[in-house]
Amino acid sequence: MIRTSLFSALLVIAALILTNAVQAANITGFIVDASSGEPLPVASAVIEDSDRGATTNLDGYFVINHIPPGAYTLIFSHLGYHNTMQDVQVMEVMEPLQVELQPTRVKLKEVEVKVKREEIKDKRKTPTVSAVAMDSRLIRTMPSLGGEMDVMRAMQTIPGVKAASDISSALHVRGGSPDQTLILMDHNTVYNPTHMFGLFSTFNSDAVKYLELLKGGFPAKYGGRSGSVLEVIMNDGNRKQYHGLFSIGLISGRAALEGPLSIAGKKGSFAGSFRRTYIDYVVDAMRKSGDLELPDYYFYDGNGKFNLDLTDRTTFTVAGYWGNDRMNFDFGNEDARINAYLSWGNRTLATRLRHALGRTSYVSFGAAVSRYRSKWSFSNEDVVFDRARERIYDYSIKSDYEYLGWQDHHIQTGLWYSYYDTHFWEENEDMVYVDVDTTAYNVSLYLQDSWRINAFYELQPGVRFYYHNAGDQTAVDPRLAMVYYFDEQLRIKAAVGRYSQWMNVMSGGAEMSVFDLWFPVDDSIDPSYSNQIVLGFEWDRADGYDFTTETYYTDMHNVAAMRPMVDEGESEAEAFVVGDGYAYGFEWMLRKKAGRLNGWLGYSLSWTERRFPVDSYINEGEWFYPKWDRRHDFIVVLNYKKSPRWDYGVSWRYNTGQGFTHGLRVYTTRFAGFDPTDQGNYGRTIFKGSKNNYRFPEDHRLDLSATYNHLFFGMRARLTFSIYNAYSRRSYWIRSFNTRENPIEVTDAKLLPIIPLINYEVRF
Amino acid sequence: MNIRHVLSKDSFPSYILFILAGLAFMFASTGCESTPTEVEEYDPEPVLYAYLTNSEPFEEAFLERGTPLFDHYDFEDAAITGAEIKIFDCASGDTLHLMDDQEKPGRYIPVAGEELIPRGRHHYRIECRTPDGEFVWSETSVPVAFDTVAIELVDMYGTVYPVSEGDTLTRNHPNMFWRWAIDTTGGFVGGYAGLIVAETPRDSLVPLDPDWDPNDPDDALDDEDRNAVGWTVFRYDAEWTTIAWAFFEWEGPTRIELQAISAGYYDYLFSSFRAMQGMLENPIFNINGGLGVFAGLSKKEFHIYMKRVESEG
Repeated sequence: MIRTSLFSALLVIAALILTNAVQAANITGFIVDASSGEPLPVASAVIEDSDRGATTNLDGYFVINHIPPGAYTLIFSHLGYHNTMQDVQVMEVMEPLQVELQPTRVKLKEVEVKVKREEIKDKRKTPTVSAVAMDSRLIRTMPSLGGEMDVMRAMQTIPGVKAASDISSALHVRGGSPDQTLILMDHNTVYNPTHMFGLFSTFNSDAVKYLELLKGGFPAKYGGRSGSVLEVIMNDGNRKQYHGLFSIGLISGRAALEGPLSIAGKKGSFAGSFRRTYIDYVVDAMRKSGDLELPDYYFYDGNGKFNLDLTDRTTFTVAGYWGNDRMNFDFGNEDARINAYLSWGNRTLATRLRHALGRTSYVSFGAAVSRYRSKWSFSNEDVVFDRARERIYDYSIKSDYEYLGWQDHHIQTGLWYSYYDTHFWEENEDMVYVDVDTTAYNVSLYLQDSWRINAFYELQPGVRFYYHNAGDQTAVDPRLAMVYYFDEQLRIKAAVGRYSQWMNVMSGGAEMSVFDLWFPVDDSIDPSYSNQIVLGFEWDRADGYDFTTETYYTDMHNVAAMRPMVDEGESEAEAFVVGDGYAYGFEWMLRKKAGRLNGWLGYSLSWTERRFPVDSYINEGEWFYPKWDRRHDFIVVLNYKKSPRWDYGVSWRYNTGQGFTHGLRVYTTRFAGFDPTDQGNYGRTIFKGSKNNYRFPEDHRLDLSATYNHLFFGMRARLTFSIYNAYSRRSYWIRSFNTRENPIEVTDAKLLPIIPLINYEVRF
Repeated sequence: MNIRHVLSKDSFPSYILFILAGLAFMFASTGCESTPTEVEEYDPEPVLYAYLTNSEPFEEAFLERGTPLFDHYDFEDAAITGAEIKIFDCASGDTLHLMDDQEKPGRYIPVAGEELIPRGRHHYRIECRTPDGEFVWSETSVPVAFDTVAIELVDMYGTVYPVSEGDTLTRNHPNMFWRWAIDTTGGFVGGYAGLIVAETPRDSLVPLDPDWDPNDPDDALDDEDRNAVGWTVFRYDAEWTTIAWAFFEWEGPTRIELQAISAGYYDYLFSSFRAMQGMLENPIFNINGGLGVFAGLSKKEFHIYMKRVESEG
């Protein structure tokens, strides 16, 4: 049936195209940054004094279709750039426009800052709900841990997105776990994008051009995850000049280079960046100066991207990422040393060919491989207590096609093929406990249409078909979004849909994502899925303010968790247990996107729970709140450009406490073969209650930053001072019970105190 | 109020901010916080422990209720006394009655004149009725005795050195291996447990760490540091294992014990590890109506002497 449905869909698409052959003209083109030649996603092109317009796709390409031939004035705009007007003679056959927008710049020697709040002419909004886009320049102004701006931490400031703790950069979006968010870097899936046990993400913010978070209700063009989507587009590179930067902070140093490229007469660009921490050198020096047992730890990562314009309509791109974390720790007595070793990392390589096909279509083809690997061991000389290794290879081919030849319709379709090869192996005391080897492939076809019915209504119906060979499983995800426009600024949006997920994560702990193990669904378990409904209101003022509010409900099925008592197994059904969940909530966000003072306020109110079968031994089969369930979240993020030399940033966050499983009583544990009094704690043991039966007190934190812009030997430089947790309110992390004391001694482990940071960056 | 008119004004109405702030306050104050900030109420259940060792007369069971988390804990204060406890062989019906140990509240010993010697491949049941009318029970089987158990040292060249009863060893010796053979038919063996127990009195324990200096105040040991026991658990199909020297912490006579354990006891030990890792809230108990463990085992002991090697530095 799935194959019949796929064939029928293709026929429908072909019929639509043939029966709606273009009669009028189309205005097509690319909008790029004038200084670098970088394509600009989500830039606007509108016809003056009309309601006709379009926004660029992620490659900077736009189409305004069905325009009667004649003379028009087009207005091009994008946040952070000066508007441009261009007179265009529209003909039935015309070449794509190449439009350059000048970025708004503040000259360093000017006394007064003139930042114009030009009217943003954005006549056509997509029906996509729960979408929050962020420009990388905004991220660079936000105060952050380590003095280095982090993409994932920036996402955590959006209402509806929560962090498990201050030291985690993982995203919990609307009650979901991190594995329920599809993370795409240049259209390629990334697994476990964290460094330093979750403290930082693998996204080097200097290399990020654009990112968008779809918190829920996302359209059919995305699939494979049941919660949300984070799309990250990396810089293409400056097509006109060579530029680079060096940056040094307290934790790591970064370097980047970009510039034009010319191969066989074809022009293009390249961009590369590299980052490495030097904590290991600091620790080594400390170890030499004193008898300290400290772990060796370092991480590094690098991005590379090459673009080549084969024609004025065709671009070929190769992009790659590589990164690794490694920790080695020796401790214990001279004659009984214990070694703990951990290593994990990502590598991705992707190619993509994109082409503006005719005057109505845009097509892209891509092939990519993504590998995530982790391994760890605990040993005493030649004796290994416990060790494990895990890897996942994701080979994928993707093709996407956009058709804009049918007036008031924007049809998108595509085919994704992914082949997964995963392996997890754990050995304990010389015995292999788990050895799960899984290969599978997944094929999905999607079809969606953004259909502007009239000036007030827009619909986005869509469907995504899946075939998964392991277990010969299929699924159909219907999606529907709609918009009602009161006028250009006010609209109501709604979305409903089903979202299937074909990858499961076996989590090794609440915080350490390095121990997360990814598996495609095999023939022993069904895919997880969610049903979502979202309703929202948007008010998009032309002077740079916008306000959004949304409410949502999600129910989750076949959510997987590691079976706690698994001690052997070769299938996922033996290693995993599946359960249900739900999440619902309310959010609002007020943003000011232009002017000297910009930023946002946001609030969310939410609930989420999970439940697993009784025989899983997880909370005895009862509903429980997961660790990331927090009732209230309030965030303020502000950036103020006081002068050409000084930028200031502030963020303040308040959230109610997260759950923790608290003890209830003390009793004596007894084992066969020895007396409890032989033990240091005399056998005293805590009996704990239901999972996460207790809430820590609320948290709030203030982060500040000040950036001094200046010239360093003629090169633009930034010196950033930041204070993380300015009034040193340390958030609760874990409560531990010391049973060696009587009565039991309770210790609350709290996280980071006030940390002053400094970072220096030079750009040339 | 016409919403389009209000919201389409050129200037941003300041009262909108007040409305938003009010909404935030309203939701913050009335957000239906259904999860308690205080610990839940809990009606404590009886905690019962009893172990049956193949070919050894049954000696004792323990029954208590525990104490509230932040109270000072004393087993005798938490003990349940006056309970009726009996253990019987499911096949033969032979029954052992237990009575209070008058010298140790919470400890139950066989009634005078009665004896129970557990046998391999036999099923047993324990039943307990407390003075408050609570009824807790459990069942277990007892594994057969080991056919063979050997403790060996194996160096990097593969040379095997058998360990004999009473041998003196140090942590500089080659790695220690345990090998065993046992009849597992019938599923009576749920797994294995290994114990390393320092038999010197706790207050006299001396660390094997060669750098330990009894005269150095920084090396002083508190009572709670003197943990004389190390244990680990292996799956039912294990036939050998290595034991790291890191498990041996103390100088002096040391008992090494290998146990073949029933399935319920294996689940309890393995889940105890998982609970320490945070994957479970509590170990898995096999007492119906309460907490604790009723389990069967067979065992093999070795006694060696661990000698401390002085530091060369």
